[in-house]
Amino acid sequence: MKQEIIALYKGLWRRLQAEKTRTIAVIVIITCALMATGCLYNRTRITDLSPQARIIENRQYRVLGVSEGTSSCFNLLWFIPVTPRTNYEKAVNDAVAGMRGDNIIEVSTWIERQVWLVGLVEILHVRGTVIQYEK
Amino acid sequence: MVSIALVAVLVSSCITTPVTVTSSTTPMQEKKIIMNYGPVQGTNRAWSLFGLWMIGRPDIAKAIQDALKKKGGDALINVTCYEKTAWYFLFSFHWVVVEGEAVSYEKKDQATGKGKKTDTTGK
Repeated sequence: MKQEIIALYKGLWRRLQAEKTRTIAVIVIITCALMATGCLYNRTRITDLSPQARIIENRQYRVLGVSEGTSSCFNLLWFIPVTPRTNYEKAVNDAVAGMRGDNIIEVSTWIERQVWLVGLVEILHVRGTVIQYEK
Repeated sequence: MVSIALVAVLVSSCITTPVTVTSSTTPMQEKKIIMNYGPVQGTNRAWSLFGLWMIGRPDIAKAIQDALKKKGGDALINVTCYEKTAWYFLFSFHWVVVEGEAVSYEKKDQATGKGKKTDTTGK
């Protein structure tokens, strides 16, 4: 039994050795492809989770659906700001306006940061459930 | 081979970063909690190549759904959220972890109109 297990592990090890070159080649190809696009770094970071984006003015509301809003900015050569900074209010308004609602509940917020050869892009995402107050 | 394994171990590390603490995942004003299922935890994961290029993103909504799936309930209260990142030899993994208490709340009678929630999306 012990010998069978050893033989199994040896077989797996040999197979790994045989596929090593192919694995390295795949990683190198993926890396080159990503570098060729000019994207040096891409990362998403969660920044907030909250029950609502603004004070709920009316307890009676209709749920319109899930919506997402964004606000972005670009820094030329990674540090020269070209556009206005990301704005939470703008992203919330974007999400709410997408469904013509009044407020957004069950809000999650995250920032996507992309470093390119020419500069840095930051995108603030706000996603939640859009509601409309009953008149 | 031993040296590669040693390097792999040496370059492995992990970090936990707090994200937020919130009272609930959904507005709870005028909602009566009828059942508290106790503490639950939900996670969602994404990975990145060399820790540089993230494939997908850790989704907090999916982590909440994962937590609610474990014991049931409508929402989470007393919520803590944090991110965990682990770097290995060529890859890194990013988890979002949501912890809280799963609760069910009383659905208001739609005829009274109080706290009425009408889903127009058909969900």
